[in-house]
Amino acid sequence: MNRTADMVIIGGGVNGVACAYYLARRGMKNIVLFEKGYLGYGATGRCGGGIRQQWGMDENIILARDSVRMFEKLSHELGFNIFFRQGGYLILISDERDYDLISKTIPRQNELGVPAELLEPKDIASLVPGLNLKTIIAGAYCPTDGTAYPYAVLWGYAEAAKRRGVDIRLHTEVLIISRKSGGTYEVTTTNGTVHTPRILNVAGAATRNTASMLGIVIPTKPYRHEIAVSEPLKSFLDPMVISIRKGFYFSQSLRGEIVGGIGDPDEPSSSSTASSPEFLFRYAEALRKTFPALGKVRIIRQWAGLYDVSPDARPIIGTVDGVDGYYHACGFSGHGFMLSPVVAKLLSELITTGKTSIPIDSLNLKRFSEPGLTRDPYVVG
Amino acid sequence: MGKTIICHCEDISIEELFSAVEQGYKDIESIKRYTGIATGTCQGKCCLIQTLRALASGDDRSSPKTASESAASTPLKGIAVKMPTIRQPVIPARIDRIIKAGEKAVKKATGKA
Amino acid sequence: MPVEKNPAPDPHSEPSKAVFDFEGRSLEGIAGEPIAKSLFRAGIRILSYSVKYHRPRGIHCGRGRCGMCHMEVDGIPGIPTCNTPLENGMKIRRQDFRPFFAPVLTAAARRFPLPAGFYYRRFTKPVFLKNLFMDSLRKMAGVGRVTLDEEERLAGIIPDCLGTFDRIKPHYDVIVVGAGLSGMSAALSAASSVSGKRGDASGPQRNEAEQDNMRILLMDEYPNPGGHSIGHQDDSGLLNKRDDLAREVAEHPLIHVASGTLAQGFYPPSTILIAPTGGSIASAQGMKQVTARAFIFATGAYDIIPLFENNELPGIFGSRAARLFLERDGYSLGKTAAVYGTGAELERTVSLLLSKSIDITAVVEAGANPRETPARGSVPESVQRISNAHLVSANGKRWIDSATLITEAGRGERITLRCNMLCTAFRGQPAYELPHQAKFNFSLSDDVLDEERIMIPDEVERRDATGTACILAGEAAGETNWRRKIEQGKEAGEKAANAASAIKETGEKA
Ligand SMILES: Cc1cc2nc3c(=O)[nH]c(=O)nc-3n(C[C@H](O)[C@H](O)[C@H](O)COP(=O)(O)OP(=O)(O)OC[C@H]3O[C@@H](n4cnc5c(N)ncnc54)[C@H](O)[C@@H]3O)c2cc1C
Ligand code: FES
Repeated sequence: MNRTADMVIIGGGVNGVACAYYLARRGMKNIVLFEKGYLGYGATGRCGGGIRQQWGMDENIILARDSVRMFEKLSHELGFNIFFRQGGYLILISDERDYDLISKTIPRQNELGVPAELLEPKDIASLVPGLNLKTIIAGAYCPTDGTAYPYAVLWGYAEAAKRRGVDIRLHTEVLIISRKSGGTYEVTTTNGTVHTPRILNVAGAATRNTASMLGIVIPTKPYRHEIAVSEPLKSFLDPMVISIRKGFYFSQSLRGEIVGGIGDPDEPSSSSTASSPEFLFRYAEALRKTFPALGKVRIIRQWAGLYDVSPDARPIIGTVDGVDGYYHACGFSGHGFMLSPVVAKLLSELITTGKTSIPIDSLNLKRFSEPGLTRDPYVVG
Repeated sequence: MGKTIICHCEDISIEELFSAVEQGYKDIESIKRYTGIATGTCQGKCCLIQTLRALASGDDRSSPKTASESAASTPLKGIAVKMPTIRQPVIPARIDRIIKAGEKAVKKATGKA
Repeated sequence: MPVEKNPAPDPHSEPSKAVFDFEGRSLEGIAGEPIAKSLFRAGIRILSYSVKYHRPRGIHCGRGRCGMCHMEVDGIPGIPTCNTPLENGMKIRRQDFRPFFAPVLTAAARRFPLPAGFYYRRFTKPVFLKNLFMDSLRKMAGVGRVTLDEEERLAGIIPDCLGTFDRIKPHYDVIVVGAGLSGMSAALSAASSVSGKRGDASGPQRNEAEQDNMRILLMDEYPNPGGHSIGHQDDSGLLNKRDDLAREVAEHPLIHVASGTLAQGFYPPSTILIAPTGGSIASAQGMKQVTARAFIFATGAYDIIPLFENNELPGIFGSRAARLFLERDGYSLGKTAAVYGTGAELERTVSLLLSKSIDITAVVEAGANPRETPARGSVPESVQRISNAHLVSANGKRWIDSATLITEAGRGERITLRCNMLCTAFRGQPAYELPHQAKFNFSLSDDVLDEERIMIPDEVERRDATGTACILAGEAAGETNWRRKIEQGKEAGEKAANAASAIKETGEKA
């Protein structure tokens, strides 16, 4: 393969395929997407599929809210059922500090159009029978939050993108990117070379590596997060249940499996995606404590993926000064799946028009060279 | 009746496997997730090998065809027959039993002291 | 001193009756025997229904692996009834809880196959239809049921572990998974290499202090060492050797024999997660993490049922399962069997069935070019043989009543054999889970006959950067001849002991 393209996308995760689709929909021709494995080989294929609008910072609330509006229409638009189910998100609150934070944030979430509410333990009990409420003082619930099947989202976007002419190259790794005179890039892959005026770098936790090929320094770090799935059970659990404090979450997939995970605050940064027995023990204990009836259920599979964590746990999206034609989106810090429709749409606007319909300047890479970072207190993990 | 089920946990027929390949899902990891093969309770212990065989020979052996028929019908050229990732646990593990057995000894010891 | 075993049904003790409830009916069985066996005797042969097409499923693999016999027992979903001992007072039910409209959908699905990706591609619009579809799917999906009103019954308890499991130490020089012929032989040779180098004291008695000396862990999920050598009733050479090996490992001062111990996963570089098997379903058994410097995976092989129409109909099972039903559990799923297979595995299975007075409708030899030329062994000439045939379907509504094959490798005439069991007897698939987790690569064998193609490991030994060695032996390495399995085990044991002492020495120097 030796060819030219109008756009090279690096990474076949949700952000890669969604951008490919929105760019093609905006009329861009000759788009090539490179994925080193299969679609979903990175974080997208390993994630929990949770979609929530309950956030602390306006920026996250707005992006997630608009994403949900897009997810609601996505199956229809793509002609592919992405299994988006709005079973809600239930945040369990077990201490005063979280209670204060969340009860102060809910009015703002409501103002921005997110129908979150505070629940008392007895409301929680009727919403999710079976939860152990001994240590729970309250809950925050948003009925329009939910889950989607990450692979279906990937496939739906990818098939729609292909129908619009996007060339998706699987099992093709980008090895070298170099700038040529005349403002083009030469992208060398395991399967040939492409010349292009534009690059979109959405390689997940590897984005900082591909960026470094162009001398761009991205201050994200990879952290392993593990996750496990149970045997399929008859449906009994509507919302995704999470504890921000414990970094613990679980939900029931449409197939009936309990999918969930728990973070380990002491785990150092690494690019390992190996599973560990320690995770199984921690996760099982958290599940037994939170939902005793699940003690009798069996775990059938565990795996791990990487969170691409930025210094303020907020995504890094946009352009880089002095590197024309280069765009990136990374640093999603464990919540990139839920933001992907809107992030991809905004990127496609930025790439084709130079402007975005929602301001995303605050998510520029530049912020790290300025003093004072703000972190969203609703970040898990 | 009268179906050839390739994955009995998820109730997936051999036709479904081939049609997934025709639809462009051509590596075992994508096939697994698209069809559901090897993602059931047994995690593929009963179906993975048949799937790989079927992908390799590119022919539904349950309805014998002539060599030229099967060559014409095979959508499977160029599929790498590879083992997908085999995750832990090997056998489904009950959550109430995922607990450290060693803790007993530790607790006993501290109990005595 | 005999090896200590985890409590497991002892076939020689007095059978005691157990009364249990099956979906509201009170039935009687024998305590300690597999639940599925008691159900079978009581005439309950359909143990579950498949999720999509509602097809009947019965006892199948005999090892708790396949899921076809999973039932709800005492409110616990997914209990493998084929190898879970019956207890007095158990409440057992099938796990199929379908909402009222599901049969309609299922009937439609039975008639028309659902194309791949059906779920994704249909009913994406209009919205109300999509939502209806998702709701129905959600209600139909899932198998087991969770009882929500139950108290936190096992949470936070101290696990009560069984027998030898309690005394398994956190670290060994060498861990051997699988106590079949090759595993036992590997443990012995590793032990003699280790003791040769270190000059450890030996003696037949072991007390607690001596347990500390044990440097080799030999574990097996079954309650007795010997692996799948059961069912080789006509090979006295093999059986004698097996018993010798079992005695030697039990008496060896350096070998800790942990029967009834299941390897739940290998976590590179050097950890194995283990769980006890057997015991009551209510017991809160725990798990352990054990590390070693070298691992030998001698985990045997699985049955692979070839592809043919209705190949999961109740009454169809593989030859390894047949050995478990007939030898371990002492019952037969039927009276008249058709046997389909190749080579030594076919002959061995036929003679096992004959020794249990099972009628054989026909011995069907698959394909024209089987990998092994069958050694007819002790199978009498009077048994009907059909050679070079291709099995195309199993027939029957709720249980197999006949099997159809085509002679001349699928080009000849169509023959239907009446039978109420169909046993497939092919070369097994090496158990690949732990080796794959230890980063072994596998490739599909190039046998001519599809039914004989298996994934075989590309190599039998791997070392990672830390020097930890993982070695395959026996059927897990693709070996089928029992004498060679023992030889291979021996070599694996030596290699493992060497690797372990090399790491130890580097460790001591550092
Ligand atoms: C265990 C876990 C649970 C999670 N749960 C949630 C959740 O519930 N909700 C949520 O919103 N988010 C969740 N996330 C986060 C979410 O998965 C990610 O933020 C999101 O998937 C990122 O998508 P992406 O497309 O940017 O990156 P990725 O999905 O990582 O895709 C990047 C792709 O680039 C490819 N690639 C890398 N380098 C190259 C190269 N040189 N050449 C070619 N291709 C390359 C990779 O193979 C990969 O497929 C979770 C993450 C993990 C690990
Ligand atoms: S038969 Fe396919 S997962 Fe069990």
